[in-house]
Amino acid sequence: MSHSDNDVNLDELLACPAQIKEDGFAAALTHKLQPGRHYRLGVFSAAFLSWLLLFILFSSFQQTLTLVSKLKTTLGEMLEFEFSVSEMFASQIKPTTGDIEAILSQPFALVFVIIMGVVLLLSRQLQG
Amino acid sequence: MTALSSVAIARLVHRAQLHSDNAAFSALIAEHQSRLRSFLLRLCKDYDSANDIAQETFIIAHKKLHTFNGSGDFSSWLFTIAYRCFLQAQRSNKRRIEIAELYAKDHVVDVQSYESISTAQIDLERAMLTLKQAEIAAISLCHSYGFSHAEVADILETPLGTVKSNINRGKQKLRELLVLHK
Repeated sequence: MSHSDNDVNLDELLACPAQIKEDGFAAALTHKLQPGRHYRLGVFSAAFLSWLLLFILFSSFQQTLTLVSKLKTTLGEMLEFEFSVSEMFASQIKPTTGDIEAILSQPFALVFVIIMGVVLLLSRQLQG
Repeated sequence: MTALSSVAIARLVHRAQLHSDNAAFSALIAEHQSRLRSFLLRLCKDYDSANDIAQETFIIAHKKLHTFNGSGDFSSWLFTIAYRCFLQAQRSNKRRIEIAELYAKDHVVDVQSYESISTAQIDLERAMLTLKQAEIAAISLCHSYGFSHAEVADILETPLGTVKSNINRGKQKLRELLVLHK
């Protein structure tokens, strides 16, 4: 085979690269680039985080108070620091309506609820 | 080769730019994804890495579409982004590239990565595995995807003379290897 024949063959071969497998690549990417997808994810994430934070706040408020008071006590007794997590959680005091009212009467809780509300409203606006 | 004419591609780009037309950009993805991924597969020597970089390329192109001034070729612009993404991935993902290089040394072509591949094309891809990265990029862009030498120099951000010598050297190696296979 002559040199020029090889050249022609090589050029022809190079001009027809093998087709790569489609594998739904274009469809998946198009879906990923859909407008509003990020906003929907944002709304979902904000709603979930709000729910989670409120749940933690209400369910563990009493335990948090216990922890704070214990820490206060132990802070004064630096040398005899005895702190039992199991003991703290063993009490498992459920919050009452009064506790929730007490939480909401705290300025930080009100600010938190307002911020979360604004975040949710903004997310909805962006989505629209 | 592209199925759509350059005028049709320019129209799609215009629609995607001015009207944020997602369907137009989807059509651009469908039009270019096969060539872009084949090019990246030759460079990465690994199907998954090639897909990851191709995806990143399209996402960047979607975000920066407003910066494309329309005076140049959209394909060149896309391949420039792809090559930069490849270099970036190469810098940040050395281990994965090393593994792919080790695999490539065995000169085994992963036929599962292709829709269909002839024996001659397998021989070509196997021979491609032995070339240097700059040679693969220059030969592929020039001979497989139809870019001119000047366009290849722009895409690879390499001097024109270097591109030409990489093409000649690479083609010489391919010629020798393909003759040996025969």
